[in-house]
Amino acid sequence: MLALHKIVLHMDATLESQRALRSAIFLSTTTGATIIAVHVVNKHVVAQLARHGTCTLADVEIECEENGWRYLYAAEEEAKNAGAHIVIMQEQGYPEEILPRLATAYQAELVIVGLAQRSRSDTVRMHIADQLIEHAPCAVLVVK
Amino acid sequence: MKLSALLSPERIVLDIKERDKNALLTKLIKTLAELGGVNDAAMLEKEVKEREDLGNTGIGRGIGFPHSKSSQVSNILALLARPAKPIEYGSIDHVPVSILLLIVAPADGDNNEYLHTMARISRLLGKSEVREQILKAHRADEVMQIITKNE
Repeated sequence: MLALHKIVLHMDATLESQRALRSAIFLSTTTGATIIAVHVVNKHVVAQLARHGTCTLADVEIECEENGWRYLYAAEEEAKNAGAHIVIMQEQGYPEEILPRLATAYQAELVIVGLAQRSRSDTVRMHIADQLIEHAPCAVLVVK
Repeated sequence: MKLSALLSPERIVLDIKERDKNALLTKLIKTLAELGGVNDAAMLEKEVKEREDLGNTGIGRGIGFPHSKSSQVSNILALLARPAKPIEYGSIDHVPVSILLLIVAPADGDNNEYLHTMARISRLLGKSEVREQILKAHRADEVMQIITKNE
């Protein structure tokens, strides 16, 4: 059986991310593992929103960062109310690079991610989940 | 809600002498309660520390952000503190904490407003230039001006 001490959880605005959170909470309350909930201000998404909208890059970044903290604090609230252990953090960059790096740095045994999340690269539109399975140093749970 | 609306110079405490996290949290809650608006300080301390036990509120970069919803308050209350020396807080990035912000919100309050306020504050304190200015400030009213200017 997989021993769990640390779980890296990718958080964003999607429904799948909420489902991933519920799975992480279940695993945390069952095993005592700590959830490391991470929101990434995705540079691909920020650039794309700035390109196609009326806001500047800086404004989009601010909005994404603030939204990210909201998702994280909402996740923290839900997890702690359920008795799960959780810490939250926000990063900037590309989720498909940052999540494996954090899993390595914190020696996580599991990364949980929702399936619907996509990177917004114009050239390589691969699921973050696909990338994670390829590069994560540990098991990956993909929640649909 | 802006942080500047929650703070005043009385709610900014500089160069706190407590050297460990537990004592620091006790001091923060005691100070918050002395400023009014807290029903039972001992109960609030218990709640904040229980939440802290379920997950460290160090959000990295030297920021500690203890927070809780509580039936001991009727309005969102805040207190910003700067320890005399950075303290070991157990943050995820292992950086000792040099700025703490305690936020307590009513248990039955508007959750969206609470989350929005927390998000705004986290983004504000995430800015390195804001943190540096707060660390260099000599007086509480200077910190207040820094926050008002940067929000």
